Amino acid sequence: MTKKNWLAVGIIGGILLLLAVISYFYMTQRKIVQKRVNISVVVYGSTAERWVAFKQGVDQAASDFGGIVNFVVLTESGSSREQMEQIDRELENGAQGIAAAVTDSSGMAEYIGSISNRVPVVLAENKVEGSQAVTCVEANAYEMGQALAHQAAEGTAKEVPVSIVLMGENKSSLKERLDGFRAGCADEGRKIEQNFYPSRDSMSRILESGKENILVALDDLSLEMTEKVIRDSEADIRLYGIGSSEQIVFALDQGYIEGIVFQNEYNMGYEVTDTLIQKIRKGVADEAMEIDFHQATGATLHNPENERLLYPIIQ
Amino acid sequence: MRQKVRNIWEYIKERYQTASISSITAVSFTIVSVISLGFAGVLLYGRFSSSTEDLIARNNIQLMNQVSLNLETSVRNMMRLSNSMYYCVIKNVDLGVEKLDGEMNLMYESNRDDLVSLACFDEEGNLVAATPIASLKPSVEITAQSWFQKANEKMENLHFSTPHVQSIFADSTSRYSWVISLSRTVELTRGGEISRGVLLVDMAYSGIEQLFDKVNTGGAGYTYLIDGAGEIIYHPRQRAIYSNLNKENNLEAAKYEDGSHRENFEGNERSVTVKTVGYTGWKIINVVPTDEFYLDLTQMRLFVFLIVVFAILCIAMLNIFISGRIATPIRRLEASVRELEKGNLNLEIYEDGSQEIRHLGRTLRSMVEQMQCLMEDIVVEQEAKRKSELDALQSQINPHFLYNTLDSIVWMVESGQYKEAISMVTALSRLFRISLSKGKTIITLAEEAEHARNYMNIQKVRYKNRFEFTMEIEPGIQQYSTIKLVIQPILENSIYYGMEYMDGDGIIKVRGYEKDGDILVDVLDNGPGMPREVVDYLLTDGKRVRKKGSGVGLMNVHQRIRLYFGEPYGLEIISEPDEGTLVRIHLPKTFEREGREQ
Repeated sequence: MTKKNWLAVGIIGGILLLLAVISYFYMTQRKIVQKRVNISVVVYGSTAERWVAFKQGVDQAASDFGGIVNFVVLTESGSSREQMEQIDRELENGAQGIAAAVTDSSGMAEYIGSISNRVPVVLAENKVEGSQAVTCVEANAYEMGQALAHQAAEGTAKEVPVSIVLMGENKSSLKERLDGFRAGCADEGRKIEQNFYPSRDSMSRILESGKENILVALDDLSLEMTEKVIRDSEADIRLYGIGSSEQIVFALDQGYIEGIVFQNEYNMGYEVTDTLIQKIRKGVADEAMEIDFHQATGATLHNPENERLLYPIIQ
Repeated sequence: MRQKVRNIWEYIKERYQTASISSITAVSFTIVSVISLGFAGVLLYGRFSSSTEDLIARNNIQLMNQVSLNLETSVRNMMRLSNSMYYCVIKNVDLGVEKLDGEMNLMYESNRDDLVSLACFDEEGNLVAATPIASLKPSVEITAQSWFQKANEKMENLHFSTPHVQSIFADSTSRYSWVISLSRTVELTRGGEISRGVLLVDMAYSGIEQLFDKVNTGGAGYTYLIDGAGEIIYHPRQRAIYSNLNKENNLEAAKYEDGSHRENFEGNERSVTVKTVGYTGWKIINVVPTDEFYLDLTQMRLFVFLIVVFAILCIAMLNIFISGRIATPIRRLEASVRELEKGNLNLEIYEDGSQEIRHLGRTLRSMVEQMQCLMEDIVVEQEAKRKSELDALQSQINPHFLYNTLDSIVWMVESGQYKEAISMVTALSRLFRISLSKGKTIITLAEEAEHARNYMNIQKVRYKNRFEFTMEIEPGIQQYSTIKLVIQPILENSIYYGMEYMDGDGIIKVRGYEKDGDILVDVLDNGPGMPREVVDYLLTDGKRVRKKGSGVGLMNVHQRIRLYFGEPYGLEIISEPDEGTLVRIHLPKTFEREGREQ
């Protein structure tokens, strides 16, 4: 054979070898499995069922996008200090990203700012002050407050006094809900009488007045506590609130609560996790969508749409 | 464009036709291999993909049949329960006398895994009996319930609802249950009077969920359940769909008939298999995105492609090797022929390789040997011919010269000029001795000069000294060789054509010298000279008839020198009318003697 032929045979031999190697790798490696990422979701303590739907969304997104989730709910009395320590522990244990529903929007601002420089951080429901760069997945809390005001005003006479049950005002969402509620009341020409802490002592005057009153709670915990306080009371109190825990839905169904405004917790959990995993994988994430919120009363609770959101099918 | 394609085709055709035998063989075999293997690969892939599609479709149908069977069993159990409740209990009980609760509780307890509640209502929606919770919420309006209305719409049928939360009972706990309500109208007997009522069987949704969860664990695609209107009863991502995070093509799927369909939903091509569940009108839908469906096929396509490419490359390599094996002996034989073309007849002709090539080589070698023999014969013949021609030329000495010389000698003897006669006889004798030279063709230049001098001595006597003759040959060149009788014929011409009309003032000069490595002998006379036209044909026109002289003319000398020494040598004539003539003899500087003559 000539030199040219030997060269051709050599080149073809090389290509054959290359093909063999490519074939081997391609055939043996059926699918490129994307490496799963470890994330921690640390949420503030609330009622027992507060985070059920949220966690379902987190789990679904983790399953869809390849995340391993450690979901931590702080104690009901969880402080910002406890939450920060928990996040530190999660980071020490190898969390590649943190999703948090902070317990104190102002007190944790500096801390969230500092950890966001180390790992991707996504916040749920509550922003932290001064850290605009940290993505926050939330419903429009101001509009939720307004919607609640309109819902409360719709079912009662104008002269019925309105009182707000307040707890945990250090959360940004609560402040915005309060602002929204006040603005809504102003629109409806309603005057807010006073604010209460949800205990029998602090509400004793209303409970014992015998007059019709509207009570409004702006989060799950205070709504559940208020509902417990007024359940056995003879007082003519119409309770409205923001929240969608199993206890709240039951109370709405039983008629103890007149109406609720609730955010789509499942979506929030899903979106938070999706955004966080994107941030870990790509360094950036698509703009987080604003979470939808809905309203329900005793009459509309069993509409198919509300049932699907408020009675989660555990999957 | 067409012309361009044609040009390219022509170029390829030309390259192919003029390529080496090795390239033609390798390329032809490779093209045939590519076509046949490509064809085989396409057939193989087509067959495989069709089989795979069939297999997946069969598996899907099998899976759905299994799901359908399980679901139908579950639904039939509920229907059987409803029938039992109606035909065995309600129909046999007069509500005016006894209650349904006991039998109903029994029914519930024996089916509690699949049941959430059992209840019976009269046509106004009043509770007749219920279990496990026997009281309704005060606010609930039974006649407004969808299952109640639908049962009354189609009285003869059982009605299945979509999943919903059963919220009519006064449950003191916050537990809730997703159910599928099976409702039907029943005839209630109260105090002998028959009225219409509705029997409600709440089937636990979790049973259906578990059934479908089993078939949705891993694998490609998923299976979901819709009612006849397309409302989702079960979906593996039901919560995400309810939250608008995912969408499903359930409303369109409700229109599909049983069997396999292809659909494009949100830009994704999907294979959908539909199976209707008997009686309920529900449809089990199996969805396999074609991306996943064709994942194996894509791999198979790549695999077939790699195999085909692999085989083609192997065959190409084999082709190159085989064509090399075939073409190398031919190429070597061709190289031998090329060498032969260059005139190298003494090379070793290639005689290896295949039988045919060996035969060709042997034949060629035999031919070359024959050619060599023939060529040697030709050379010998040519040499002989040249010798005979030379001899013939040399023998062209005019007999008249001898006759005239001898006549002059007789005349000298008769007139008593014995001394002159002796001198002339002596010169003649020497002339002949050199002429003969013992048969030699090659003599030294000194001998040739001596021969010329003797000849001129004879001619000077004959021409009574009408001219003067001088000869100067450089001593350094006298030992070199020349063919004999080259100067004398030129001198003869000079005498006959140049000196005939001279009256004592003729001059003939001979001058021999070396120039540029060759020997030049100039024969110069001051005769009348010749015009250029005459000079031009003197050395070219062989047929020209000599009028006088010894007969060994210029043409003779010129041919003899060229015949022996080759092309560059011979005579050169320079002459002008009334100016005389110079004939220059050009000889090589050589010592050839016997060898050449042999």
